[in-house]
Amino acid sequence: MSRRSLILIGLAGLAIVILSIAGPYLTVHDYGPVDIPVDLAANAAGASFLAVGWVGAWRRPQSRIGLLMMAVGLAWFAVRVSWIPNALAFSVGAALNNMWAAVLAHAFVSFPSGRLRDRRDRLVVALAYGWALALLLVNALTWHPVFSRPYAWIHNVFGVLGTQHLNAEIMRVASVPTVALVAVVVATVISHWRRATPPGRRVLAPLVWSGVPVGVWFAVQQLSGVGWLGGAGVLAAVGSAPAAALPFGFLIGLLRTRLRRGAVGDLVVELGKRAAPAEHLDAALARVLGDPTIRVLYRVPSPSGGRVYVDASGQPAQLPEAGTGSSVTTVDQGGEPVAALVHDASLSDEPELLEATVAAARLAIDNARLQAEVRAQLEKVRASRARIVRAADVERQRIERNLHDGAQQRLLALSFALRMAESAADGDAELKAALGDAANELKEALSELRELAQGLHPEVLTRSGLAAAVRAAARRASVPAEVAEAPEERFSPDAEAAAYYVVSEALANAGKHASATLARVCIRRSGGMLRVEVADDGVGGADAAGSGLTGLADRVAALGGTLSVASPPGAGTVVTAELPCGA
Amino acid sequence: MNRIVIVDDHQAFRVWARAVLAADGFRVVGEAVDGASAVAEVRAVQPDVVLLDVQLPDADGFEVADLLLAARPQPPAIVLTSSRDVSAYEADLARAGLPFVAKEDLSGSAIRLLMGGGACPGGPLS
Repeated sequence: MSRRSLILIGLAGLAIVILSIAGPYLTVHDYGPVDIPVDLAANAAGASFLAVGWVGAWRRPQSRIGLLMMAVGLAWFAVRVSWIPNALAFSVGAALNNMWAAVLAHAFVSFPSGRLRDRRDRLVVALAYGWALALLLVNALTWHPVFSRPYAWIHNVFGVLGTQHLNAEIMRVASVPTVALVAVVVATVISHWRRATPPGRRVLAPLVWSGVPVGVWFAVQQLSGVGWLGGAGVLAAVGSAPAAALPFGFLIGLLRTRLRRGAVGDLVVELGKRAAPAEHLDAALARVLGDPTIRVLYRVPSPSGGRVYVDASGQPAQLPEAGTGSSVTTVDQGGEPVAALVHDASLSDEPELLEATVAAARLAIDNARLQAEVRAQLEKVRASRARIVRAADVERQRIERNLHDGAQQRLLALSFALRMAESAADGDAELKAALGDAANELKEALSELRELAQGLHPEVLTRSGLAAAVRAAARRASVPAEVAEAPEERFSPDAEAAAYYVVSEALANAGKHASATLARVCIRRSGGMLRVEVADDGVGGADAAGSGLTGLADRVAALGGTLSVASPPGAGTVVTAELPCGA
Repeated sequence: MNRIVIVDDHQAFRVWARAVLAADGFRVVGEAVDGASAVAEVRAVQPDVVLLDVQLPDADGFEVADLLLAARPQPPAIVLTSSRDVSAYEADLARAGLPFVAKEDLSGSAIRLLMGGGACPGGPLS
């Protein structure tokens, strides 16, 4: 609804209120005496529905609840049509007397969006309208008004059936289903409240506080009106005051929104106090908007071109699908979304609050987005580093296989040939000795080649796993080494390779540089981390920036792990690596 | 006890192993290049010994060894071999309880020694 037509509707509503109050005084010169408080309360109830409904429609244009409340106000004043001095108008006005209750039930059940949520809600509202319509018909056909002032037009033109006595009996019986229906409506609102998320509950709460007493009032009024309950005097004194108070339940909801806009100011202060990390921004927004589920997603360039959403840690994230109870508010820059607030769907009913929050948090969101972008890039770099290490490993494995299938086989063949020649040269001792020397030399070459292949890619690692490979490395080490602990389970090839190279490099250093007499290897898994520790009793003073250790640190870091070297002069060296190895 | 089948995917090795073993008094009664043909060949010629490469193009030598050892009526003796470092296979060798000879140490006497359950030159428990 446009603002312009809303203004026109507001003016029309104002005219209706004025005409309704003034009506009796205009049509009959001797109107009164009037019970001023009762009359005031009745007019105030209808007027406040119209006024609060109008404010609601103005402040929440996308919710129909404001219009529905205005309809309640209109229906409330419908009975005043009876004061038009005409029998038909009187009859129509009288018949419409209680329709406002059905419209109010509709407003209750569809609060806060003005739209009915599901089949059960639609059924409740259909029952309310159906029952009101049925009562209207029965009443119109059987009501025979008896008034102290017999104005000429007071006559029910539809009242063709039965007597006033019959009408009273019917209404007395009908009050029971009416009260039951009121109870159903109240129960529906309470069940909405129970099922709502925290921000949804805060919106519904004023309706529950104000709606339940009004429901009770309405039920009691119904029952005492037909004589089922006493206390008509008290009710007359209270009059329509509870109904007049009802719209203020709605108004309080609106004011709460305004109060929370004050919290937006707090958000600005809070975000200004410290350079907020992205996670802190989520928490601050959750507090201000009263929605613990709120998350900010950032739109960053994706590796494959285009743009994708990532969360504060730079991990790719999906916007929620429609119908999941979550909604998305995008933060735009130059017409392009740069971030998105994923929040409880009920917050969409408060666009100004969201807008104000986004405006207040804009700078922080921009910062967090840049942070998320950097993290996403970092994640990309980390992934590519891991890929490079893996590619290098694959290449080493390929070279090892080539050595094995190529040079090694040829040298083997050569060594067999020499041995055959050696045994064939039995007669010539000199030749036999020369061939024997050549065969031994070749055996050395083969053994060196095997060492080289082993260093390139330890077959035992892929074949039997980390523990077996580490034990083999310890046996081959130039310094006596013991494997105190090593898990027999298998890990990812990357983690196994990194752990193995840490051990073999540390053992090689212990022998080559540290002049150690003993080394000790301990590998332990704890949670998702593999902790590799190699300690020796050598001279210490190892340079962590030395090329071997730097290469190791790079390999470990590529997996998201850490490598540390403690090597005080004279007190041995401890190389420790922590590697993620899956949960 | 001298009928032997050589299972290895490297042709040069088969040629020289045949020559070396023949020189040492073995009768090479068959050759195979992979696991599947090894099983078929052994079933056909019923050798006393199979010299089996640990890594074959289609199968792991240890799996092939399990198949051969399940043969009826008389399974052959099996000696595993490889040109790779024995450390890669120690765990499997210990589990399977099979002898191993490094390729460059291959000779008829080495095989006889291993079959006899004696000390294992280049073997797993040396």
